Amino acid sequence: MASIFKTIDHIRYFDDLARQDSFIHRLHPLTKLLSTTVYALVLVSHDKYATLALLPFLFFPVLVAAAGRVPLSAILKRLLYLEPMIICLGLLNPLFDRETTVIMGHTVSSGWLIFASIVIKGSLAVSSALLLMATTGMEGIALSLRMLRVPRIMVLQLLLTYRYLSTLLEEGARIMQAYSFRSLSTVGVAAKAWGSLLGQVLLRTIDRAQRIYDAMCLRGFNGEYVPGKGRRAGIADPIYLLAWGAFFVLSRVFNLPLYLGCLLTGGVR
Amino acid sequence: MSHHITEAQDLCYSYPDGHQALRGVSFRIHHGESVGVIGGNGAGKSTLLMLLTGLLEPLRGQVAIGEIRLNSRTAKLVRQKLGMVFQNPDDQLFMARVEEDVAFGPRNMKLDEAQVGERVALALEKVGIVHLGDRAPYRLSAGEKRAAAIASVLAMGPDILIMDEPTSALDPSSRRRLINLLKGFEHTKIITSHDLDMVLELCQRVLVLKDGILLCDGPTHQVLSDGNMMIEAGLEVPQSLRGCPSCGWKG
Ligand SMILES: Nc1ncnc2c1ncn2[C@@H]1O[C@H](COP(=O)(O)OP(=O)(O)OP(=O)(O)O)[C@@H](O)[C@H]1O
Ligand SMILES: [Mg+2]
Repeated sequence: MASIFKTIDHIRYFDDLARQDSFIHRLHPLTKLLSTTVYALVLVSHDKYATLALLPFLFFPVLVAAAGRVPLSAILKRLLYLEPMIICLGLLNPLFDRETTVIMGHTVSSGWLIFASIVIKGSLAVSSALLLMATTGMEGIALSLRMLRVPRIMVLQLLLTYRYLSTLLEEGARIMQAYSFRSLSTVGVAAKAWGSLLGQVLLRTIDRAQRIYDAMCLRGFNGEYVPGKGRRAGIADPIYLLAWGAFFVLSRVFNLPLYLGCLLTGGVR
Repeated sequence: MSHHITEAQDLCYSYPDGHQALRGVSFRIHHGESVGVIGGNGAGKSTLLMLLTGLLEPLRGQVAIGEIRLNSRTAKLVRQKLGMVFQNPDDQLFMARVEEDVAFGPRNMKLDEAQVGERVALALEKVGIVHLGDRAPYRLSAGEKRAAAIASVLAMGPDILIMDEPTSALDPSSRRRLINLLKGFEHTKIITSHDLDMVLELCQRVLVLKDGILLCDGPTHQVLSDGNMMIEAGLEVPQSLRGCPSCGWKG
């Protein structure tokens, strides 16, 4: 039961983080959406064997988290939940790709190399997406999607899904609470009760979603989400975007860790 | 501002499960009137309000606001004049910040951002929750949520204000503030409540519902002091209207 309340808090926690005030929060939502998208694209476009060369890409999430006052632990914890999915995606490679490559004098299976590369890329991309949520909030993201001419209906879907997800979790938590107060059993839900409990959660959620929708209609909502103006873009926005853009492209074109390593050891191969 | 008459004619409603919640309710409310709707639990008060706002369609009978008969086509038009505060504020607050939530209505009215800001500020101030503007609705106390829900409706500047149990979950001082606020609202008010003292203070007229039937419709003072009728409706005469046994005062 406690875990459901925690899940609600997880969702809401991101809303809370997004309400903070920091350099990152003050940027225009569109700036953040664009920088994160460019980041993810450049990252994914990287060579499929790239592992160490990806190191510079760690800067983006770490710096944004630090400047945006987002605890790294908050991001890492949620990343852990998604990690199995990323690993499954990557795991096919070692199975099918049985060739080998040589790096730094060691022979490694190229399949595993690709696997490592995918896991690193996936984790970095997911972290940056989580950070976008934590520093911009769903409404900010919706606003910038609309500015990019993403169809209304899709933006609305996104917002409502997000909103109803918390509604669903709340109803679930309430019912579990009511159940555990009266069932007297100490742990879990009796097998017999699962069906009716789940049915209850579903019905109640539909009811509540309907009432929320009613409330929206009564306040003039007619299928179109009208976002506010949001923050005005300032001089910091283009600079932020250009600086990160330049950094991403540099890290993509040059293998920065390799250069740095050569520089430090003074050797040129 | 036009003079809206809210009229219900022979309203009947059954829920999909067959439960008959309203069985032929008729009344007429003039502009500027302040009407209390009272009755025991399950009497059909909330259902009546849902019908008045067009959220439910009557099985029989009709609702008219001004000259407009309420149906699915005119609902949008009618709702520009109505503001409804739900029984449960959780159903009403859906944005991530209170300010955003209050701004939701004005933005749908296609006002420009400056006007939206003005309306939001004014509504928050009227309800006395300026300090909550930046908070998350789901982190507020029940009473604060209620206040935010009221602000979100006031921001739309409705001609007819409909409220379902507005004083439940309010502490005495918030309740007092709400009553004073409502006293200052000169348009039509339709308020359901179990808080009969508030009804006595705010409404000149009450409708008493019982099992979906309009039991009584008349001046508040007269209706609320009718002991037999009140008991039949599952209510009781409020303390302030009862005589005092020790001094012989007759209420
Ligand atoms: N969604 C629903 N489905 C079926 N029956 C319903 C539904 N909502 C309400 N009812 C029934 O309709 C009747 C009237 O309900 P309503 O909510 O209007 O009562 P109320 O007067 O507002 O009561 P309360 O003072 O408790 O808020 C009740 O008997 C209730 O059981
Ligand atoms: Mg009710």
